[in-house]
Amino acid sequence: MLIGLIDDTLDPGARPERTPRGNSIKALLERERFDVVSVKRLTKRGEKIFEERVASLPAPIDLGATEIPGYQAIPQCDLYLVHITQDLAPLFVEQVNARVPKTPMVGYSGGGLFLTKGKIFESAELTLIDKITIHLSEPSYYAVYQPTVHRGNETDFTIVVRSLCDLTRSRSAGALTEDAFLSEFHRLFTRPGANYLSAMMVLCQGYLAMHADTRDTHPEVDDALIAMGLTSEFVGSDAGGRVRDLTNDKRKREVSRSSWWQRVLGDRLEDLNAKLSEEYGGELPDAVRALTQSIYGKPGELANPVIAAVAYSAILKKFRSRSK
Amino acid sequence: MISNWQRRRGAFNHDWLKNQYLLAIDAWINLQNGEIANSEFEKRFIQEVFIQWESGSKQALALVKDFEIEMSPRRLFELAPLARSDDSTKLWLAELIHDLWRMRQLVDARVSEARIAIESANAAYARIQGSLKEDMDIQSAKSLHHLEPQFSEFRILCIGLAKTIEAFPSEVKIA
Repeated sequence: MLIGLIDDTLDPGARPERTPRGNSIKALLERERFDVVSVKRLTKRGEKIFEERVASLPAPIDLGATEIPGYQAIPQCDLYLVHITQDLAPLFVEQVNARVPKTPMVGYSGGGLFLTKGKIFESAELTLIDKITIHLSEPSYYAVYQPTVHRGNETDFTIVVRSLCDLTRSRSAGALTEDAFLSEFHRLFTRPGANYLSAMMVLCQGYLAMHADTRDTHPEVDDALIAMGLTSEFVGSDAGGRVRDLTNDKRKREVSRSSWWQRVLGDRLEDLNAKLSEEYGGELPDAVRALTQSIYGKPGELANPVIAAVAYSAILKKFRSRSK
Repeated sequence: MISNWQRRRGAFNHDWLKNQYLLAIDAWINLQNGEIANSEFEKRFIQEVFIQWESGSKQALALVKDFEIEMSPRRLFELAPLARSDDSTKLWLAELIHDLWRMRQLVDARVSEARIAIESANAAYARIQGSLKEDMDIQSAKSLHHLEPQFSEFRILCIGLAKTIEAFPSEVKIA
């Protein structure tokens, strides 16, 4: 099993006694008898990026350091371990996917790893993101939570990387071919584009804003408008003045025509449903199907704002579950 | 959609501020406290490293200023399928979803908080530069030990700025 280690703390020129974390993880993976290809991440980096870090590390973590082949190249591997941070996760994922699509990745992140005299040398970068990182209390084979290391010594560090190795060996290797893993992995890391779902959300917002006068009689419409941010308080406030000005009967008639939706979403119901299902990641909820049916149905079917409101809420629920 | 703004944020916040500049400030504070020794770094810190804040601060301001333009969902109208909307819809609907997004995402508050964080760090930086002018002959870390509280304050403000910028949404939020 070939593991690609992608970490911005890899340092090709590091001396053994001043080894950045990426090198240390590489050394420990190799100690666990994995074949490892190390890759520094692909975005532009200065040559001296670790100069200050390395210069300030008097306490050695001697896990060995080797020259790193494959610098700035991503070869095909069976599994990628990717150091993630909130700033970088989307960029990493985008770049890796562009080059080696559908290859599993394990994200890891953690806390300060190095000890200077009497105090931890703690990098500020290591902020965890809950939506990608899985905590230890919920072990998983697709993502690793590298716990914060408070002492920053080799023992802590070894525990952290051992957990990564154990996880990789006992679960990932066997699980990589499982459909459940791949679908879950893709849900987390290769979130599909949501162009049509997004467009549907935007159109629904415009449509519902024009039908805001029905909120008192249709609680579904009121709920959707509130979720959009179009609360009665906002509409009545100074900040909502522009939104008020955009609302008129002419536009209400316009958004109630099928052609207004079809111009954006295409002229075939089957094609739209197929695209939406793909982006949704499974069977479309009935509420969304009801809306698409109305868009391509008989004239006048779009007159009922409840259909759009319920569909909007269903897509919103999906979007929110993805961003958790 | 990975926006240019997000790339810029990564380059500024992760690459430069957190992984270069703050690490250098940490190292300097360690030097001031006598915890480590590195004469080469010590010699060039004030003249070459510390002053990078002046350009970094400008980048931070530009980043914050551009957030509303670059991360608004109205940019979706530049791409298919929404780009197929008629011209009139593009105008009013883009404006509508932009206003709703600003409200939902508390854009004004985020931007204001980030500006304050930048200004606070600028002020701390200026105080240190003022103190350094009084000690023009002295550039060694230990002899500037009395400025350690000022550097520590500046460091905390920079960390605060990094967190503030990190808290901005990492994707174009439609809902």
